[in-house]
Amino acid sequence: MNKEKKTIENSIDDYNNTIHAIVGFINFYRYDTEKKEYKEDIKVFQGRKLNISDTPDKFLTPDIGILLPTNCGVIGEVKNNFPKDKSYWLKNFTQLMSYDNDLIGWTSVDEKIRTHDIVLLLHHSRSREVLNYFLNNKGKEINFIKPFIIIEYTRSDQRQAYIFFRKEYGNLSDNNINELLEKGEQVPMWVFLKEYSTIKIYDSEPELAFMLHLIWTYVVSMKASDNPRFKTLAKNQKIEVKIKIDEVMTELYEGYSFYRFHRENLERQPKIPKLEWIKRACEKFISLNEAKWDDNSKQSVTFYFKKYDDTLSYFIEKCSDDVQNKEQLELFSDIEDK
Amino acid sequence: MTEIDFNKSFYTDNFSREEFINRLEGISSIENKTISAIPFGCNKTPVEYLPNFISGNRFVEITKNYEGLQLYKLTHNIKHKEERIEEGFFFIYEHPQYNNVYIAFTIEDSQFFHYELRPYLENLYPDVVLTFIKSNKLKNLIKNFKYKNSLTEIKITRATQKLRFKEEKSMTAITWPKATLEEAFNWLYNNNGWFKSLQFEAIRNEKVLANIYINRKGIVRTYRYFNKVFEDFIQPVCKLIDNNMKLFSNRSRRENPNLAVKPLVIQYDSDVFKDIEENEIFIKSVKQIKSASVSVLHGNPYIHLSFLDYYDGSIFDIWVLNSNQIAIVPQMKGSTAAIKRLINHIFDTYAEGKIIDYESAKI
Repeated sequence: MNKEKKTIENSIDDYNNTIHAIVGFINFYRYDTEKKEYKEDIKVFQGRKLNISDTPDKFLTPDIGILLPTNCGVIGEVKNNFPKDKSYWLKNFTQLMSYDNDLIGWTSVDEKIRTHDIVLLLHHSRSREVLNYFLNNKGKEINFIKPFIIIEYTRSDQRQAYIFFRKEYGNLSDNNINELLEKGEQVPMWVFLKEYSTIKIYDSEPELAFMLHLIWTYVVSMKASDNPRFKTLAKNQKIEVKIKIDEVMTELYEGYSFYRFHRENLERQPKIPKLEWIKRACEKFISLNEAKWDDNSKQSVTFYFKKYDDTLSYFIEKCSDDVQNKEQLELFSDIEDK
Repeated sequence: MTEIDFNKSFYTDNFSREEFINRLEGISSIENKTISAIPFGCNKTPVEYLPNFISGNRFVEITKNYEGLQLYKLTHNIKHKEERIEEGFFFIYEHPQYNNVYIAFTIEDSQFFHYELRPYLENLYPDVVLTFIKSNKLKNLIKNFKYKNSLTEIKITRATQKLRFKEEKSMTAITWPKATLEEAFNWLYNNNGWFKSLQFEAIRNEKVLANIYINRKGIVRTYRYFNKVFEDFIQPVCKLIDNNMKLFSNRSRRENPNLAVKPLVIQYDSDVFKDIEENEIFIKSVKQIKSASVSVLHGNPYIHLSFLDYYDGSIFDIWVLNSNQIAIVPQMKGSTAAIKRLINHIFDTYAEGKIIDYESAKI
C-alpha cells in the first residue's frame, strides 16, 4: 500500500476514534449503569454554537457539551491526534481557555448555567507529553479558573474491544465519575454499537475520501436503488442520480451525525456536514467524472452511479492520486485537525 | 398418455388447500410422480405480483384462483439458436398458518422444475426470498424424519457439499461414499463444510419407501411418501422462513421512529475470533459475496465493515467487537432479503451461528 493511501486510512481511523471517544465520554454522564438505561434529564450536544457572555458575536463550538440536572455542565474537546509540532500546542490550550468563561447558549431555559468543567480528552499516545507541557506552562501562559481536567483514552483489546478512559489531571465536579475515572474505566465498544453505527460525522471536516464514501454509499446509492435498473446494472453501466446538495446535507445530518442527541434543541446547532464540505466533495466527484453540476448555481448535482466492489478503497485510491490532496495531508500532520 | 390426462384433471379440478395436499399425496403414492416444492417468503401477494412480473423471457398467467391457492402457467420463450417455447404449470400455496410464506408446488418433470420454475422464482429476488437451513438443522430434520416414521436406514445416494477454505473459495464436490448420516455430517463438520444438497433413500426393513431431495435453500423434492415429507420437511422449512421473516423484517432505520437502529447478532458458542488472524479470514469471506460493496473501516483488532447490497441498495455496518459475536446493523434501508443474503453468506463462507436480536444478546 502506498504512503498516501496509508495516510488517508490513518486519518479516517483517527476521525472514527474521535467519534468513539466523544460517545464513550458523554455516556459516563448519560448512561445509568445500574438501571442499564439512558438518563432522560441529561442533555448532550456536539458542535453547538456557544457565546462568551461579553463577546456575543464570537462563537465557540466545543466537541462535547453536557448539561446536568444540577444546572452545571461539562465542555469537552477531543484530540485524537495532537500536532507533532509543539509550537502549535499553545493554540490548542488557548482554544480550551476560551471555554473558561461564562458561556451562553446552553440548552437551559435562560441559556446559562451555574458553572462547567472543561475537559481535554487526549489519546493515550500523546497524553503524558501534553500533560507535561500543560504542567510546565500552568500559571504562565496557560490558566484556568474553572475546573480543568485531562483525561486520556485508548482502545484496549482483550476478549472484547474496549475504550479505556483514565483521568490524568484535575477533578471532575461529578464525584462518582471523578472516582471512576481516577482508577480508569473500560467502556465496552459493544455497549455503544448503535451510536457507533449511526454517528459517522461530527463538526470537523473528515478526510475527503471518507466524505466521498459517505455521500456515495449513504445518499447516492440509496437514491439509485429506487431506479428499476439498479438490480441488474452491470459494472460498466451507470444510473444518473440527480440530487440537490441541501438534500445530501440533510440526509447525512439527520441520519449520520449527532443530530438525534440535540434534535429537541436545534436553534444553535449548525448542520453537519457543512454545506462547503459537500460542495468540496461534489467538486471532487466532478473532477473524477463521477458527477456533474446541473447548472451554474451549483445547487444540484447529477451523480453517475456505478457499482464499485469497495467504495471506500476506490475513493481513497482516487484521492491519493490527487497531488493537491497530498500537500494537504503533509500539512495535516503538522497542524491540529480542527 | 395417462400422465397427460392425469395432469389435465389435476389442473382443472377445484379443491381447497387441504384437498390439494391430499391430492398431491395421491399423485405421489399412486401415480408415482415426483412432487417438487419451493417454500419461500414474500412480502407482496403473489397473486397480484407474479402475473405483472416478466423475468427475462419468462412470464406467468393465472389459470385457476382458489382460496389460498392458485394455479399458474409458466411460459418461457427461448430465442437461442432456434425459437421454441417451454411451458408448464405450478401452484402457489399460501401457507394457512404463516403470513407471507408460500410454497410453489409442481408435478411437472425435472426439466421444467430445474430449468424453468426454479430460475423463474430465484429471479424474483429480492421480492421472493428462499431460506437457508443450517447443517445441524438439516441433520436434525432427517434424523427426526427417520425416527418418526420408524425408518431403519437413511441412505445418501447423492450429495453436494462445500468446504469453507481459509484461502480459497468454497469447493464443491459431488458424490459421497456410502456413509451413514451421522458419519457424513460429522465428516463435514470436521472439515468445516456444509451440505448444499442431499438426496437420500428412506428405507424401512430394506424396502425403499421414498427418494427425497432437500437442499440448503429449503427446496424439497420427493418420489413417493409426500404426506410425511410435507409434514417433516416442507412444514418445518415454512416455519423457519416465518421465523426469519419476522426476525429480519422492520430493521430498516427508515421504518423505525427517530431512525433508530435495530441490529442483529450472530452468536457463536465458541470464541471464533480469539486469534487475530481470524479477522482477515472473516473479512476475506465477506468480500467474496457477489453484487455488493464491502469496505473495511477497521480490520484489526476489531472489525468494522461497511456493506452495500447491489440487489436492492440495503446498507449494513458489520462489527466484530468481541470473540464470539458478529453484529449486523441495518442502516436506512435493510431489507429482509438483504439481511438473509448476508447472513446466509457468512454461514456459507465463514461459520454458522445463532441469529438473535442485539437487545437479547449478552456480552
